[in-house]
Formats: sequence, structure tokens, C-alpha cells
Amino acid sequence: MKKNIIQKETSRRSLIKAGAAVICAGAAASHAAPAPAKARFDKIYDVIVVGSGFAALAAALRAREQGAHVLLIEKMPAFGGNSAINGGAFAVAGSPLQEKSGIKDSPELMLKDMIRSGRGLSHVDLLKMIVEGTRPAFDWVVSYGVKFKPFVQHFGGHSVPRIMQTVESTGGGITRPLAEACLKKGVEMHRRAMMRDFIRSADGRVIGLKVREGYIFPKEDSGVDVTYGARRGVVMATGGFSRNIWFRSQQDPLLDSRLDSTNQPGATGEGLLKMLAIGGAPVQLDQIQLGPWSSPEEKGFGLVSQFNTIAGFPMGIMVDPRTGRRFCNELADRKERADKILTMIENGKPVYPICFTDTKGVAKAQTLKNGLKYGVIHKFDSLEAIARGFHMPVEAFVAQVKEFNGYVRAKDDKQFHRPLQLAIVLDKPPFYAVKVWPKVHYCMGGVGINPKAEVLDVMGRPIPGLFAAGEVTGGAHGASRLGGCAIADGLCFGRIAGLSAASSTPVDL
Amino acid sequence: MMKKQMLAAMSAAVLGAFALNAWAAPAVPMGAHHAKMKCETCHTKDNAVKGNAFVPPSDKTCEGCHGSYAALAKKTAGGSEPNPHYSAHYGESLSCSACHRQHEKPQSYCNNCHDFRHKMP
Repeated sequence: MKKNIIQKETSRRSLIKAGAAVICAGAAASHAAPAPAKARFDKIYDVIVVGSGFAALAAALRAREQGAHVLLIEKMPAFGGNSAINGGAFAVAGSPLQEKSGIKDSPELMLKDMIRSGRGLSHVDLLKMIVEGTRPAFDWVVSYGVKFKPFVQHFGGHSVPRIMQTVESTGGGITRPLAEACLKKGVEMHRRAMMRDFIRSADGRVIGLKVREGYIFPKEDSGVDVTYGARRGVVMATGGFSRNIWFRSQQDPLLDSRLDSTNQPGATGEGLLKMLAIGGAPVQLDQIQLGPWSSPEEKGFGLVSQFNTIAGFPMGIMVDPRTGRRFCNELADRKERADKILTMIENGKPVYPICFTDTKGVAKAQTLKNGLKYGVIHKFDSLEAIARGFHMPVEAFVAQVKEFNGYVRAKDDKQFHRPLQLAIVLDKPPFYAVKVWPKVHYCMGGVGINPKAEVLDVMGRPIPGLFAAGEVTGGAHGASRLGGCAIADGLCFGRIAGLSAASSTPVDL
Repeated sequence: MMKKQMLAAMSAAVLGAFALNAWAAPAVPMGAHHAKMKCETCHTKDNAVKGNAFVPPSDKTCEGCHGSYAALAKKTAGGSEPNPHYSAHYGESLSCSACHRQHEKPQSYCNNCHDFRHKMP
């Protein structure tokens, strides 16, 4: 049966009915039912969550678990944001599978990896909340039906394998169960509901939102204005601004319209801009990450990103087609790889690196079939054929592969010191190769928060009633986010924000 | 011609029945199938926001005539392209009108990221 997603206002009669139902259900007296609104609001809740990705769903569900009456609004016609289309890879320090596989890991080790990746810019107090929260968040999503693959993966920049990936290889494997759990538990969820502005009390507390219901992205003037009150808090979980070409290129002029993005079209950053407009502290807004695994032959995140993440980079090599030679550690973190790739410009035009692996390497590449079908993954019967197919010097390329195979056998990459735990000797045709070019992927910067997910103003004080979690916040990831840590951040801080909001002293509206 | 005029008159009557405060129905003609129907087939009172019915209808309205999302997913499974009515990203949470727009050309939401070759009515 399709879930009953409420997309319209509840009539006064329904409100009274809802109130009666809550009384019959014996809900905690401290959490009042949605009340008939005074002149100011069309409807009043305890907590309003803006967005519908990992952080938003975690916040809404966690607040609801505390007995709060929760509204979640999403401006797009589907729930999930970027979370629903990401690779579903969750960095967990101390997962059951790591223990079973004999992998020694800990929050302390993950903290070190994240600090190193962030080039020293990370806010360590925020990082600690994330690394301590990954195992509890993992157990929590599993309890709501999320399923992970039966092996631990090793992503660039992590010192040990710690990536748990959904069986679907997409974040939808997490957002769908969490959205269903929200609905089942009574979170009210509206699609096509665009947050227009905060409503604040005279003392500056955020007490509600002006929302445009019936909004049709990206038509600014579509929809009907509605006001919602939030007794305990508003949680902003609106994601990043990778699709806002104007704003991202203000932070980094290299990120102009010539660079595609892996993001969904709604990742335009209005939620962040609204918080900045009421005095939220901007944190590290120019730290914008490019995904090094994307293909210039397809739009957005596409099919190649997953192929490279699970097959090409850990089990293959990436070469400069002008020389046939490797030019970086294929498992370095994203910033290092993207920066190296972006140096490959000749006469103002990109020279797309070629990443490839062999038949053994593609065993777990779920997007291989579609990648071949849509012409973004290319199949070759020999190393020489790859070289000819991409106009590379044949002898140099074949020699490079032989050299790399020697490193694999010796378990020592003398070229770039890449960890070779997952690497394989590249010797079994057919081979599968792709073009590579980075795309704007993640905004490490955002609004400032504290470890309780309270939004900080430019003087460092919490803005009462306002919380934020996930990619819309700044500080945790510093200069470069590690793969698998967006889900970690979104789920961990989403849970914190939901709990903080639900626990806030309510105001009378 | 007669049908168009009647439709225009009907639209005017319906428009007059609602207080338009923030948004007006687009003037673009709708798909051939729904053009034969009354505005309120989709723009029902239940779908109205603060009395304004001319907002995207709830999926329940579409499903009322076309069948449930799950039934449609079954119907369109097994084609040469991925199932447009089910994906691992959205399940059933992608609104019908995300793709099936009635006052504009249809547009595959999947193709914001993919290059599928779905044929859309």
C-alpha cells in the first residue's frame, strides 16, 4: 500500500481529531498535540525539519521518537535530496563486519583520518561527535531496515577499510527506509514545500517558517504562502550549494559554469543563505570538494562514479593519456586526486585521464552493465586496444601496467605509495575503461554549529530555536571530506539535531 | 473549436470560484487526454492550499484513476530501460507530477542524472 503522504493543510476538524487521537494514545503530556493556530500560524508543530536527506530524516525521526510532533518539508517533488542519489557508502568506525573481518578500527583512528583529510581545518569538537556517533547511527538505521553489503570497503584517505555500503549502492537504500519509518511513526511530510523565510519572536528566537506549499521547482513565484509554527525548534538540513553556480564561483572562481556537478538540481543552497541572512555564522564557505571519479561523458554523478569508486580506483589504475603513465595515488583523498586531475589541461582544454581495470576488478561494479549500455564504460579485449582506443602511447601504457602489476605482487607501490590491500594484478581480459573528470560534489563549508547542532550567530552565540545538520553546516570536514563521511555526518548530526530540538524548552505560540 | 471555447468558459468559471492569492493557473494547454476533462478532475478541493486549487495535485488524485504506484511499477517493469515507476533512490516518493507535467512537456526526473530513453506520454 502506498504511504499516505499528506500534501495539504489539515482542517480544524482533523486537528481536533488528531488531538483526540493523541489523548487516546496516552502521549506524554509535555508534548502537546498540534494546536489550532492563533492568527499568526496556519498550523503549529513542536519541530519543523527542512529538507529530506540523511540529516533531515534522521532529525525528524529522532525528534518523533522523543514524542515531538514533527513536520518535514521538502521543496523538490521527491524525498531524499542528494542523499538518495549518492553512493550509499557510510564510514563506520567499529562496525560488526570490521570486527568479524579482524579489521582494527576505532573512533580515535577515524578522527585522525578526518583531521588529516581536513588539512587541519576541521573543527575537532564537531568531528568527535561524528566519529563517536557512527556505530550507534549504523545500528539505528539497521534497526529501521537498512541493508548493507556483506563486505567492508576501503575508500581514499581512510587508513583502514571501514566503509559500509548499502546493497543498492545508493543512499536511497537509507533514505527510503527512514522516510517510510517517519511516515509510519506519524511525521507529517510535505513535498513541493519551499521554505521562504524564518519567523522570529521579538527576542530573536526562531519560532516558525513561512513556506510556499504547492511549489514547483525552480519557479520562484509558484505555490501558496503558508505559515507554520515550531514550539521547540526548526532544524535546517537543506544540503549544500553545488548547483548554485553564482554562489559557488564567488567562493572559488574556478568553479564556474563549465564544471558540472554531481548534485541533484535542487542543491542550490537557499537554506544556508536564509540562515546567513539572519546572522548565522559563515564557516569555510570556500572549501568546496570536487568528486574525482566522475565522467565527462555523462551528466551528474552518473554511472561511472560508482564504477571508479568500487572497481577502477581500488582495483585498477588511472593514467594520463598523453603519456600512458600514472600520475597520482588512485586512493588518495578526493582533494588530492581532483587537484592532480585538474592540472591536466592543455591549450585551455581538459585532457581526460583514463581509469581502467580488468575482469576480476569489475566483479562488484553494479553499474557496469548500464555503463556499457549507455556508452560511458568502454570494453576492450587487450591492453593494446585500450591504448589505441584512447590514443595513448601503446608501449608506455603497457609498460606502466606491467610496472604496476609488479608493485601489486611486491605489495609496495614505489610510484605513489598507494595502499594495495585491494589491488589486483591487471592481467585478465576483457578490460573496462572510462574517462575521468572531476565535478562539484560537496560543500564542506556552511553555517556554524556547536556539538549540540545549535546554529551559531556571527558572535558565536546559539540562535535560539534554530538547529542545523548535514552538508548545510560548516566546520566538520575542513578542507576535504573523506568518502563515506557525508552519511556519517548527516546521520550523526541529524540525530543530534533532532534530539536537541525535541528536548528544547517549548515556547507558547 | 467548440470544445476549446467550452473549456475556456469552464476554466473561467472554475477560476472565478477560487480566491487566487499567489499563483494563477498556467495558460499552457495541457496534454490531449486530460484536456477533455474538467479542471476539478485533478484540481480538487482536497488538493487546495488555503482555498487555491491550482497547485500540483496530490499523487492520490492521479492514483485514483491510474492505479496505485505499486501497480504501475509492476506494469512498467521488465522494459529495456530501468523501471520509471520504481527506483532504489526514491521508491514511491517521487511525485507523479515530477515527470508527468500536464501544463508543460513531460520530463524524466531520472534524467537529471541519467540518460535513460524512457518514452513519456
